[in-house]
Amino acid sequence: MNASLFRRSMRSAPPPGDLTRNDRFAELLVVALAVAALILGLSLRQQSANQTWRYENREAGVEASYPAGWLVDERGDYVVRIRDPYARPFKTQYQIRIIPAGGQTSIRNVLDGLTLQRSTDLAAYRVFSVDEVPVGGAMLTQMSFAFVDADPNPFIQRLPVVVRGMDVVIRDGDRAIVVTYMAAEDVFEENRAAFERFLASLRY
Amino acid sequence: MYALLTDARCTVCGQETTEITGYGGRYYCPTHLHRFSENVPLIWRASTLTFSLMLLAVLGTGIASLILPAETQDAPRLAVSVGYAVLPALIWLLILYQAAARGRLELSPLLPTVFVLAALIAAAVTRPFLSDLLALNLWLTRTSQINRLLGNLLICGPINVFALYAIVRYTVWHTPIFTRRTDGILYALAAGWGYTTAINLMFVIDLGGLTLLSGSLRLVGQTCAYLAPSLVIGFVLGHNRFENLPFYYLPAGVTAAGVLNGALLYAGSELNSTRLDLTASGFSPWPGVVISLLTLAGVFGAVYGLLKRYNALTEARLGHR
Repeated sequence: MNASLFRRSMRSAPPPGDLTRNDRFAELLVVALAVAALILGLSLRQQSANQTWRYENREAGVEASYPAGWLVDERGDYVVRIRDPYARPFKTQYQIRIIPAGGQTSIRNVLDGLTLQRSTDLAAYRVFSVDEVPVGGAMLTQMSFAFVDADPNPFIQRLPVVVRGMDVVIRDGDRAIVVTYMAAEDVFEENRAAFERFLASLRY
Repeated sequence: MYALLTDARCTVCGQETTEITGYGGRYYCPTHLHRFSENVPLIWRASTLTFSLMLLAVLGTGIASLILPAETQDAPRLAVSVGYAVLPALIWLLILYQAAARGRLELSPLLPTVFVLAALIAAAVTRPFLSDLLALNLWLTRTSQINRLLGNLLICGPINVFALYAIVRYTVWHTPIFTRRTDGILYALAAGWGYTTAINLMFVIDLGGLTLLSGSLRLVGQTCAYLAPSLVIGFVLGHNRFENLPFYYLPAGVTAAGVLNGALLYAGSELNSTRLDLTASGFSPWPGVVISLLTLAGVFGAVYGLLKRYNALTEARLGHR
């Protein structure tokens, strides 16, 4: 037996049967490490979820920050359509359109034009409300609507989806910039904050 | 480091006797002094046999997938998936209880309790927390590769491993039924089996059955991802229970187990993305499961070797008294 080693171990030894100071400290440290890792992981997730990419269109004179990883499409009757590629069954999307609105054209006329067009293009299209809402210190016109999206592809069998949408119209001289947000009904409110960030980042 | 004391209590049973001996900064009565370093070969044999059966099932499934049609009916598919999720744990328990029935092993009633508790915690706490509250799976599918790795290492690993650690630490670790270093392995494996069975079973039920090859191999990969860290947790808890080790020893072990769990969960899915071209589909279920099985075998061998060595050292020291 090594007597000096034993005496040294006895000096820091605990009351028998009980946990030692090392045990208690280790116990707390395990909890602290787990919590620290979780906080670090969650902050990484939050940072990644809020990460944005910049969209810029010099011809239309608009730029905005959209969620990272979303797909940009400029080939339709809009300036840009930015879609979440992972959203199922309906792809959550933002659209920016520029509509000429010179002379006597009011914002109401712009919205009526959109409504007429969508009534023929979209199934069960309904307008819910047209309101004036404060956005970034300015009063903007906002139109809420809904329609039913059914995939025309006969090889994709899925139930039609109720889609909710929202147009925000910005008067910019003799043009109206219409920023639209569309998402499946069940995720509409959940993703609304991200759209508001997109709208707040819009420069024209 | 041992001596006879007269005013101390046994660290295992807490009884005061006239012959208390100190070892590694803890105290033992004569009954428990020679007990904690006992090897229990049956625990290792039961685990080796179960892991071997899992390996055979993986090979059998690989061969069956070449013979059977790719699309099977829902009912057999569900039955195979449920079998993969539940049977390995039941076989492991069955082997242990058969040995106990023959009087070759003494099992505490807390063993099935730990198993069921782990399954309940996985089903009612960690899985809802990770999948529903944090929507982690959704984020992991959308984010970059490096974020997937970090997400698994920093969120999944610590949560899963802390749950497994807490189940053993706060139920059996500081009770008189925890009498041997090997008990750390026994109870941590029971927790690991319960935990992985619940996770796999809910995965199968959520999807209404899995494909024969990819689905079954994924379940095996997930099983390895929970069992390998359980072995590490069992080892450090078993070692620390009978020696007053430095304060960083247990946290370091649990952290290593968390990293192992996160890395295996990441590897189990990420490595399955392979070459995509005209002849390859860009997915193979094999790389993930092979890495997971090799890692489990490596961890099992390392823990077995280390524990046996520590037990031999203890026996040698006590033998020279």
